[in-house]
Amino acid sequence: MLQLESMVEKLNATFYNSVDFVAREISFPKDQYAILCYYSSMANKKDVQDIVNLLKMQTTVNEKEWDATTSSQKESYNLEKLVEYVCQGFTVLLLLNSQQMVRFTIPDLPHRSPDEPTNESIIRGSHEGFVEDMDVNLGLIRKRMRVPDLIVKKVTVGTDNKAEVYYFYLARFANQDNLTELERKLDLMKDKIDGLYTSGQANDFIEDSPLSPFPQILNTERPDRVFANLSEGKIIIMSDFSPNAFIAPVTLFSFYQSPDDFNSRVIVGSFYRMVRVFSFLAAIFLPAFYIAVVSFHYEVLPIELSKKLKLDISEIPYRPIFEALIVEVIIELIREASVRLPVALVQTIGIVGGLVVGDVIINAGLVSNMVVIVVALTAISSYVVPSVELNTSIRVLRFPFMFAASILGFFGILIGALALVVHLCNLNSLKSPYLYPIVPFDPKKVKQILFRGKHTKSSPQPSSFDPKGREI
Amino acid sequence: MRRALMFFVISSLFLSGCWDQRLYKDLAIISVIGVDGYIGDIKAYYAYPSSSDDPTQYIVLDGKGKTAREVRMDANNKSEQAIDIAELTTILFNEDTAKKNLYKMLDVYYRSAQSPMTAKIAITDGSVKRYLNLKETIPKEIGEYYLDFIKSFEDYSIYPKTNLEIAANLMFSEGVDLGLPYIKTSGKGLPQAKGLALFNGQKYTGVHLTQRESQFVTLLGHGKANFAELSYLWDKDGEQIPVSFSVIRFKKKKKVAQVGSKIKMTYEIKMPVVMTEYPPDHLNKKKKRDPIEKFIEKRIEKDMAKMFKKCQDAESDVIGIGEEIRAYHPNLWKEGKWKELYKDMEIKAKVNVQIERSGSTR
Repeated sequence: MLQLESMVEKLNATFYNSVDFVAREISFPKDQYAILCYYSSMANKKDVQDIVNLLKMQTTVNEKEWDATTSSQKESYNLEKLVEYVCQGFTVLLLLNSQQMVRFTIPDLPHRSPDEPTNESIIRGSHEGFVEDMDVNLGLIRKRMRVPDLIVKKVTVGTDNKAEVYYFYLARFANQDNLTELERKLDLMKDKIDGLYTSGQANDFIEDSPLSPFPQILNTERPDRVFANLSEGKIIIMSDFSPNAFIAPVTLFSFYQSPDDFNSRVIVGSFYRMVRVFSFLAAIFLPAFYIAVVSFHYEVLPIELSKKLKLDISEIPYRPIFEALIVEVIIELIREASVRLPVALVQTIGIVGGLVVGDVIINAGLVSNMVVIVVALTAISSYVVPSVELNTSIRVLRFPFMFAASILGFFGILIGALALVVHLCNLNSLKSPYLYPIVPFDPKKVKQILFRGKHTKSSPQPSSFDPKGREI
Repeated sequence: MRRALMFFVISSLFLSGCWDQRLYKDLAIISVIGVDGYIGDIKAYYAYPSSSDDPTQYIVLDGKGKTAREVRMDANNKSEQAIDIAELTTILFNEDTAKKNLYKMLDVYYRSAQSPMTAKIAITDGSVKRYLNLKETIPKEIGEYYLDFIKSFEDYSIYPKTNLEIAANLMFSEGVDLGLPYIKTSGKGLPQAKGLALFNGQKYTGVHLTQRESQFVTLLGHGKANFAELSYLWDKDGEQIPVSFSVIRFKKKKKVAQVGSKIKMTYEIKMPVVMTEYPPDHLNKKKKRDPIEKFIEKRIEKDMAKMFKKCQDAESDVIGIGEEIRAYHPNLWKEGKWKELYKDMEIKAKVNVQIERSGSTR
């Protein structure tokens, strides 16, 4: 009895007398007494009671295999392991006399229901989304992929918080080179990260060039998107604390595809895919083009347009680049404010922003009509991208182009575009070319960038490698 | 790789040389220029818009000087912003200026890279000042107005398509001459198109064709543009019948023969038409159609003959017969003496009209 009390004290001390830690002695038929320990914050008390009752009952019926239930496992006592299990949310039943412990796998961690992610909503198709719980997430995927060769592996990262990072792939299709590269990077991350608390940290480690403006990992919260990529031989990386799934290797064009394309009709899907490709060009080059035209090459303007435009901008006191920057900055401010604000207030910001930017600023003579049209069109174009990362990257990218255009006109835009293309050609995603199928050129797959094929003919999205065992 | 990229980018920056910024907002964008006088004493007018409200207000600057460049500098001194002609739509020339030598007055435009080669040129009756200071309010900015004015005639196959670039080509080629729109104003109301000013080389001959004759020149020399419409009044047994039609296709065959020292050229024209006006109706009957076709053929042949005569008298080969002779009958061509041959040529047109459609009503 004394031993029991001292053990409870010892356990409490091990867990620093945390208030949500429970170490309680209970009467148990086999050893007379047992200690039940768990974090009350991570376990469902009713479930714990049920299992304990079940075990009690089993001991009286079956002496030998009394511990066998679907969620329990018996092993010999080891304090270090006990601490680890409890921290992971397990409940441990400690039998002191026989130096054994039984752990129940019934963690009851809080998580959301798998609702559709708001930043990736689609019109038709599945409306499920990942949550901050790996079991639920894997369940969402297994539900769609009922095959045994969906391999899930786990890496524990971070000495401080021991976060779990999972990666999974289809053994049939996944490319070994990509896999080796990913494992190398995860190994690297294991040693370097103290505490992994946000997926952005993992992102930097997994990407080939973290300094590039272009994301080399597709980030999604949609199980259907993950599923589609799995069957194309991509590798998915997820963590236990974030609903974001990283998909790699990807190409630039993967970011311009939405599950909507594949759920809608062939022509409609293809049309919107082309609209998105146009939006990419508009989002990067439109403000730069405007600046170049009004500072260097106004002769390209049709005469009908030139009269109004010329008289409008004659009254603006500063150069076109500053004019464009003012509106750009205002739009970025409105965007940032509407992301941070509670949903109820976002509309207010929209109205204030719309009125201020749309009307008063022109009447006040701060900027001209045309620049507001240009910047608004650019902003809309950049939001068309179905991926949040790429859309932020593109919005940042247009500033260097605006400066280049204000210094050198079309020539400056051309030099910027040249640098951009060279950079994109150099970029890799898990050692696979980023600009495929443009570089290296594969004429057969180029059309898949612009068109979505019929489902009756197999046509996965262009990938930087051929998934093994699959004819594309 | 990175070093190579940097080298490439930086060297291309320097190799491009200077790019002078021309801020749109700091320039006076001239849309129409009018020129009076000739080298030694030139007067030019520069019009640019000053307010975008309807009706459009515009300012006309005037410049005086001995050379075309000097005139522009003089006008520049009178403007609060620098004058820029990159968006020029039309240049108007007094007919007296064009009679002396048009190319010498245009040289200043061909030497600057920023000159708009698509600008139209028109010849005016009398001083250009009246054409820039219009009393009537026009619905558009004045540059737009003159541009659309000339373009619409080009669309209707009345004027051959010309601009600064084409004009230079034609002024220097021997086998074909330049024809420019000729506009006239009485001082009241808007200016009117009055035909095609005929050039001989770089000089205006002083003769201009009528609108209808000009249309035939365009059809024969340059083919049908988007539309071609004609209208005649048929005096049939004392009854006045309007006959209007629009040309569907205009096909021509050229036959060249030498008769003595003269060159004889015959245009065989096939012209299916659609009737756009014919009150007596019943065009579905061949018996009714035949006389109308005959009438149209005769009238067109007569008008064309008049047009050929006028061109030959003015020694202006606007149709480009010379090019045809030089290309396909080199034995008849005499370098440098084409105009002498052209004057004495016998040019004829044989027209075959077919009423192919009769419009919505039969």
